[in-house]
Amino acid sequence: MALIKAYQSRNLTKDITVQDGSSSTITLGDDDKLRIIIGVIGQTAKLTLVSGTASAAGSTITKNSPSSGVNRLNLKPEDLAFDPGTYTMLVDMFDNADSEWKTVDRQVFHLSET
Amino acid sequence: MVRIADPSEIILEIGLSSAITEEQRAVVETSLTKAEGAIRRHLGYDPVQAARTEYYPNMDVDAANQAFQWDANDSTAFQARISSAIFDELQLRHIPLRASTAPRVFIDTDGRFGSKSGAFAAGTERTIGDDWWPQYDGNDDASSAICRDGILRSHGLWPTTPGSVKVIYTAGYTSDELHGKDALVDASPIFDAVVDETVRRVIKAFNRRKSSAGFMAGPLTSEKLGDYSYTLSGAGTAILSGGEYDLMPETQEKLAAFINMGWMIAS
Repeated sequence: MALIKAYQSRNLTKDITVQDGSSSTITLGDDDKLRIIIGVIGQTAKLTLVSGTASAAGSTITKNSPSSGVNRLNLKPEDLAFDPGTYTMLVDMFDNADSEWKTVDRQVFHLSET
Repeated sequence: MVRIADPSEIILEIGLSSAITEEQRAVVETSLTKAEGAIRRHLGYDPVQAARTEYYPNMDVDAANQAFQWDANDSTAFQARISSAIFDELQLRHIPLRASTAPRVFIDTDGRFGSKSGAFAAGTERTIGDDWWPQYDGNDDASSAICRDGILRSHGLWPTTPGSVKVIYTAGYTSDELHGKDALVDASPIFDAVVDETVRRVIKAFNRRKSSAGFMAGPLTSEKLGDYSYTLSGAGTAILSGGEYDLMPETQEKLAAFINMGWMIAS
């Protein structure tokens, strides 16, 4: 759990670790996915990103990189061009074993002007 | 219903963005819902921009807006009636009215609030600018006209039969306007009021717990380093959480300029 502070016109790199109820790290399998949604709850999302599919600007979520169980989020400046302010970042995991999206966490995401 | 504030904005305000528990987040979200409800009740309308279809008037009224003026001839003083028909007013419930989506008015004297089959057919629509016009008093930053008081003026009297006027319109403030990011329209006191009232409700929810004062320490009255201990001010915390007021007086003061006074009088 952390405040995620981002700046327009700057890259943002964060490593995401998913844990189960016993605080044990979950290593995502080949068919599992990690997703982030940044926005105001109840309104159209400012950014949605799913592992394995880069955004048009090149933002990515890379599973098990840099190491097993650690997933790297990299946001490009072009994807952080929305209005500065405080948003909610939802982190979800697609659990292929159950064929459903599961909530991992919700973070406070604050975007500032550079 | 679209929220005025995001839960994350409240979490940041109370200093829990790095260490909030799921339970605390649930308290924040519930408190936010309650605070926004209280503010909507106080304003008498929803300040978040949305498209609406409504029927007017809501009650049968006399043509009480007729005006008179005193005059006199050589020997007699008399009253002369001034026709109000040229600028009769209809007050909308939700403000401000936006021209970004053109408002539409239909008049069907037997429209019965739209419940009658065939009511408010296409032919009953009246032409904006000719038959009626909003009292546009400014522009937003997209150069669309804005009518802050929500008054529609009619060329001729509005009908007084309840439910005989149908209005389709867009009203309310954008997210940028509510967050004080718009150069021309500032509705940030509403957002500020939501944050204040939500934080107050969150503090109150945790103060009700017997085990602790929650995550908000409140004002310290004493602190000691050796055999560390501290004492919290119950009175100070009570002031912070504001008792059982639906809205604190200072919140009402912030919102005073946004209350739809015209609707309160007209409805």
